[in-house]
Amino acid sequence: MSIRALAIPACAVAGLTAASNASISLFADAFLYDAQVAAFQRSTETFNTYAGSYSTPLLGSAGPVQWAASATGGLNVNAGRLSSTDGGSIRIDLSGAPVWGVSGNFFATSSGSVAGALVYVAMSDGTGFINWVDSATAFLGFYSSNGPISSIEITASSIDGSSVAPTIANLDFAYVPAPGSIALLMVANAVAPRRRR
Amino acid sequence: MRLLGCTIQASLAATAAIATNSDAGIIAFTQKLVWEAFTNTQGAGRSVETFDAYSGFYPSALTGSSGGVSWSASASGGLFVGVAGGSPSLSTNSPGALTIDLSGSAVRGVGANVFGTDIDFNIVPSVVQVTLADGTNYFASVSAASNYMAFWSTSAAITSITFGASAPSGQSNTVYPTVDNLTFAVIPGPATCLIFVAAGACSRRRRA
Repeated sequence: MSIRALAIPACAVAGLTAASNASISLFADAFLYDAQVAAFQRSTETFNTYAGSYSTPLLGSAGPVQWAASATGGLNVNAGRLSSTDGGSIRIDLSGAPVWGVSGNFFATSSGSVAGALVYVAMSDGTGFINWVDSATAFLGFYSSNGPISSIEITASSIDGSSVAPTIANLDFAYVPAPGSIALLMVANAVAPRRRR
Repeated sequence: MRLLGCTIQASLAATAAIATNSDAGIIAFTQKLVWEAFTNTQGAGRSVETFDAYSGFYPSALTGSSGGVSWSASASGGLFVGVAGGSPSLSTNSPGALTIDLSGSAVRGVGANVFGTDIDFNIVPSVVQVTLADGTNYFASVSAASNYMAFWSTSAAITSITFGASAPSGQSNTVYPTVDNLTFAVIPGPATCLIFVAAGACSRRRRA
């Protein structure tokens, strides 16, 4: 039995909220990541409109966010999973609406099947995760509070020397609508009350 | 397990080369085996503070050392070392953040079992937040003392690490951030290397 002091839980919560002043926050828990980016707009690239092999870069958009995936040797999409063709790293460059949070399922595949591998997912400054991953549901999320995220990169390597390819699914962006969209929303809000008068 | 660790280490070499080829980043790990293998690829030595030599309440700051690393733990209301998950663990005496400042040998990596406890050091489900001096945060939902978190700085030394804990969403119980097996990874400095070189030279002469 300890003699620790008991205080109201709000003290602990206050300590956590100080995190919002930080530069980069990392999440391996989708629920916590969703809470962090709750104030942002979200769009998801499922890769379901792609199939087969593509030369690099492969371009696409999810909402107002444009992405460009590149990998030496090209890219391959199978059943909503984006992989590199030759097992090399995949880099995703972002443009369009400023992206403050990126999340998704990051893992490795071999011949189209999920393969256990060491997976490194990082932002442009190198901040990221290295984990052993053997599931297509492995989640990682990144949130930046000091500037938009311009790119992420994923690398995978097996521990037995076999060939594995870094793979991405359900790539999600937390973004701030472009100024034009915000202005449109403001106009819409301004107009709406007048209609109710 | 050792064989698996060696295999992972060999596989990590290529990944580590990519990961450390950045200006200033923090790499997070959630698996102890992978983090230890990674520190091996960087030529780092590790030392562990188990807190086995501590017990009960301590006013802030509580200081100690492990290997060449000196640590200073502080928390509003003081600190408390109690048994959690069968092992003495460092926690706060009052709910709130636990900060550990590091000095001595430059610490490039930090790892620990991090979790939340109640007033009696029972492990309780919690949301744990770890913040490094550069502002990098890691958030995790934790419910076991075996939960592991580790970090590696690709450039500057890690000078402090702060642990916070709160009840999961929808719950209001009091949670205390708790740490065990705090591990420091240090790349040996030139002086240390020189000692090793000298020792190696001496040993060769004896065999000659």
